Amino acid sequence: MAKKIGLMLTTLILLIIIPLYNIEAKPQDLSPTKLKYVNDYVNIIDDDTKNSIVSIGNELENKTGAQEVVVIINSLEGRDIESYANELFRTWGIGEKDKNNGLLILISIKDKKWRVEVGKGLEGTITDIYSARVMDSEAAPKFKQGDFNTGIKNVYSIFADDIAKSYNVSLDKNLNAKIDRNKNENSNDIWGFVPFALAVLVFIVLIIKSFRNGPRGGSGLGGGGFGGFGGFGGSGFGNSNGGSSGGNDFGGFGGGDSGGGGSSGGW
Amino acid sequence: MSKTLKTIIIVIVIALIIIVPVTSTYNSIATLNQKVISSSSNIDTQLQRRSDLIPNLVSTVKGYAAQEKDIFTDVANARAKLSGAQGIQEKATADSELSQSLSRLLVVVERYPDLKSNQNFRDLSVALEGSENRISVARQDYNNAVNAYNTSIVKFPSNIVARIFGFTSKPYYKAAEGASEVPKVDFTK
Repeated sequence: MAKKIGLMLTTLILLIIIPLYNIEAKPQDLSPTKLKYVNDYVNIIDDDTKNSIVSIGNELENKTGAQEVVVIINSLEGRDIESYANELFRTWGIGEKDKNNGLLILISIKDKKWRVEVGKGLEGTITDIYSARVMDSEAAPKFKQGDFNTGIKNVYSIFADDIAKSYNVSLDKNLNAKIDRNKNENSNDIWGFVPFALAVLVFIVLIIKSFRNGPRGGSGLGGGGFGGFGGFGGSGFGNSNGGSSGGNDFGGFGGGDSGGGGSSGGW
Repeated sequence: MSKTLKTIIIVIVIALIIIVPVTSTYNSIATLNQKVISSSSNIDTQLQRRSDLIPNLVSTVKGYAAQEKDIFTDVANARAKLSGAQGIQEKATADSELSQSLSRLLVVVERYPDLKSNQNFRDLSVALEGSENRISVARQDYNNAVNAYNTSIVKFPSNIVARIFGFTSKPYYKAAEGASEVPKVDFTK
């Protein structure tokens, strides 16, 4: 009896969870990687480039609060890069909440398209025209040759310097940030799932137990079972609200907004 | 406890039962209403931003393609119409007409390679694109705000509060068919 109910409940819960993990790639489904400042979902850039981007990005954020983020995706799947970038920017909440000092460099490899999305607070520093000029002169020619490492590193560094300058600070650009290479940077989705799965497991076990113990165990079901679910919102999909997302070494994003400023182009 | 005291307490309790939810409902509708107003003024800001770019763009194009008089008149007329437009619907229509005439202007540009490679023109078209994109984000934010507001005033029980205080539904910012395409010059060719 208890086994049957346990089995039914497991099936039911799986039926609810599985569809969540099967949806198409939309910006709101991308979760930031552990490297925060550089999110390469295509594995097209090397560790040295990531290392220098992370250390520049981290220094920039420590000194100014501004967040500059690179995202490399394989394909836009038919969407236009402007709305994709804006949605991604807002979902992650790049930049500080009231200052909106975020900058997103989005690159779609298959579409051969780039976009620089600039938070409202940085529109005066990184104007549309300026961002297009930097991308056209420093990134696009390198991208054409297939050299994404140099192109991305150069523009990232240029924009970081400009943002720092607007805050009257300068960046040392010491390549001192440590990246733990043992960590799988795309593991967020999987590891985010673990506490949730554990909670479900505990819940099921408690239900089965309560049935075995008879009516006396009834109180254990409500208390213990639902307590386990508390872990879900915290670590599973924590980036939907306000933009802060746990799970990386450099803290979450700040909840910054973008009004569609910036520029886009191709190579 | 005297009878009058009892009555007073009952009246107060009933009043509280009515007043508290009405106040909170009113406040939430008022907040949504404010959101609609602020997003609508953001559209105006972005429309103005684009309007301000146009004279510069037109004069640059004129330098290379002076004979394309019709298109310049079109753009000028559409721009004037937009600046005179009142209300969201009229603005949406005028906005889409201006976008269309601008895309025709940019099609004309394709025939003038010298113009296309002119740095000033490149910059202006990046600025125009940025402007169009800001308008489309502002439009989307406005429509989301209107959607939240309109939903709140038809839902029970907040619709009762909305009716008492005279909140009426607001129009969406709807562009004409095909106008959502952002005009673009392809510089990769």
